Amino acid sequence: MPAGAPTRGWGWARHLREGGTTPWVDWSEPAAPFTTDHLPGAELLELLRRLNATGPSEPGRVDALLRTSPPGRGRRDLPLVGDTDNRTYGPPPVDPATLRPRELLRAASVRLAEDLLDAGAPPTSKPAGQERRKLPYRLVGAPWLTLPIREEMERQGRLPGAAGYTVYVLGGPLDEIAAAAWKFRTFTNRVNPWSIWMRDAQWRGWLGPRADLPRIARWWADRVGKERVEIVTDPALLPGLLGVDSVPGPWAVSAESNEVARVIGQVLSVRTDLKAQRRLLIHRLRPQLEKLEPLVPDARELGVPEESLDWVEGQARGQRDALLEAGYALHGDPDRLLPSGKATQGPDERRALALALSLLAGHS
Amino acid sequence: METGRRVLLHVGTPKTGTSYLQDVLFHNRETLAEQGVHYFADRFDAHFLAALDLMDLPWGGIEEEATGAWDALAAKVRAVENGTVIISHEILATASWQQAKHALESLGEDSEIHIMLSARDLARQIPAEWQENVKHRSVVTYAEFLEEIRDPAREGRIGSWFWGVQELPDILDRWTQGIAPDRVHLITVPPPGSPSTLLWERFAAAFGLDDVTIDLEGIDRGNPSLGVPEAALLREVNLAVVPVLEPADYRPFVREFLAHRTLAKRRDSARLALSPDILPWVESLSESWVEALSGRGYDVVGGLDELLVPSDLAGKPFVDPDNIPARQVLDVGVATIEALLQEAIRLRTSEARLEEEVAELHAELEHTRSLVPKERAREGLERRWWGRAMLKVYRLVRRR
Repeated sequence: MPAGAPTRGWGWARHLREGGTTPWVDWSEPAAPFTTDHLPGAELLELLRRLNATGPSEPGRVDALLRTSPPGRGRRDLPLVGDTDNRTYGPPPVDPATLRPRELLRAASVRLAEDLLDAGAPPTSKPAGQERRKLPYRLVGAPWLTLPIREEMERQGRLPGAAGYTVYVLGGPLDEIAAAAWKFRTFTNRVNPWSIWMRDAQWRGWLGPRADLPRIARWWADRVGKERVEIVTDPALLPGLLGVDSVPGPWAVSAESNEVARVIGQVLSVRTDLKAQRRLLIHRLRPQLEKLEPLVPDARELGVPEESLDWVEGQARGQRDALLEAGYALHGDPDRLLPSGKATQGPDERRALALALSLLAGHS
Repeated sequence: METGRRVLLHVGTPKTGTSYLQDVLFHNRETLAEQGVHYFADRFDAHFLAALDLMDLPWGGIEEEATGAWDALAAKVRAVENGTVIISHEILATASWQQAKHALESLGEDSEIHIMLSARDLARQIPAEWQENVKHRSVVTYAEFLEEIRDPAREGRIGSWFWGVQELPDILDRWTQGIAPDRVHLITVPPPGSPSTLLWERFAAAFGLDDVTIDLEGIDRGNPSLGVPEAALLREVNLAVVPVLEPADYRPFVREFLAHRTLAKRRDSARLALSPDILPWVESLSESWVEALSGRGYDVVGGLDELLVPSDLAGKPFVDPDNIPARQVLDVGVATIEALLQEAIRLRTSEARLEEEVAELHAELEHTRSLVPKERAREGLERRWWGRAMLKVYRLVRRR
């Protein structure tokens, strides 16, 4: 077929570019290419079709989306089944409606990362006129749980590290702490999908430094002495220990928001440095996702899959016993370190895609 | 309108002598620049980083060093007014249509761009890619690997990568957007048994390096293949160490020391080949690729027929790395332990030498410190008449 000849694929692409939502299998009109580019892959065209279904987008934004490619590893540039491409090689043609949500999410990730880079991280401002003084505490443990508290304390001018400070190691049910460790990495670094992360942790026999309370406690005990390290298994006791009325909980995002951040983070890890990546994800993307959460139903809480719970339970018992044996002061029931089994699912990839589409549509 | 800038963009494929070519170019970059051939690289993996950047491809943490690397490389290319620029990395083979288009545009529309692709028959590429996986922390068995690459949907991580970097007609479609066929150069790897210099001669001819002065002395031919028991052992080692070794430690200790410097040196073991049950599929696939490529008008350095499965392959014994006798793996294990012991001894000797040096330096430092007050006192006395007199008396007393 001569280059520039009308094809059904280009007809569908033109329809989608103009805001259409007709599925590929129902499309029959051919059209000539509207650009010298190769026909975008089925994954991008289907993503655009789903985006159009949420409402109209600016033409410039649509073209920018169509100029991207799914990043990293994995198949892409997928031809449309039944189109006129007669190559005997290359990726096999697909019906775009059958593509998995995670493939579409990956296709969306470059544009979403570019949106964040274009917007930049919001400036951080220190509260004016606030008296700032150091108090004799340090709060450590899984940063997903401790960072919001530390930030709030600092916002109130209650800085950590006054002479003779006590180190509070915040713990909790180990399945939730493991989930917290992964969740934090989705906003701060490059990390594998949750199911693979759990599988690898089990293979390695260790949930990693952020979910290893005895290790954290020991590290601090070596520096300040064991008598100044205290374990907190019940977060409700923290306000009393820190001398405040209340402490904030973790960021209010679902497992799917973590997955969206994770996938965008893969692109940002190449496009910018780690510090900027964290600032963009935590300070720009997270507030957007928090706004979207109530608009997309059926949010999931991340949990350790049932098949791994026994192993996590064994790890948790080991951690509890090690902490008791070491003789640290304890706030709360040590058995609170055992898994709660409250959630046992990973992110729902369909809902993660829905969040990504809302971000692309600018609904946040 | 084209200027006098010629860009040779070498986009793959892996396991075709690319590391050797890149080593030659890197080590000769200054000499080459004097002769009008530019290989812009301030570190040996500079073009690898550029490729990661171009393709938004994370790579075990190395990607953090890749930010902006492609655009920086392209800017250097565009700044050349006259001469040849070479860019080479094999993972570029997997670039998407859009990424390839961006790359070509970024090199300047006034550049005379040539696409270079080195290629080897699938009968050698398939086993080599499995080994490459094993050398990159994978614990996938050979059978699992073959199953993944035969999945027509290419949904798996292994299959999508394999076809991305190996499917020659598709790679060339993606990379030759707007490039005339006579500026597309397909360099085929000579068949087994060919003179060892032949591949380099082909590279040199295709890249126009046969008329320039190049020093090939001391450049490692690099990335040799493993025997079957060696690959099987490495996979077993991965099962044990991958969970506990960070990529930054795995690279020097497992891939470099164990795989390249120890296991690959054993040349007498059986070489990995295609399993007989997939041979017909590979033969037919290779034929279809050669058919797709012939008649395109590319400059073929070597021959398209070299991309077919060698006819003498059928009937050769196949040694299955997934079912290799334990005795053979044990032999390799013992040889590996020996190499590790030698390395431990070398390191201990080196450590002892360094400790000795540190002790000597400490002693010298102490001596120097002890001299400082004495020297100062002497200099102070030398400046005064009565001081000089005191020193004279002191020296007389010491002599007694």
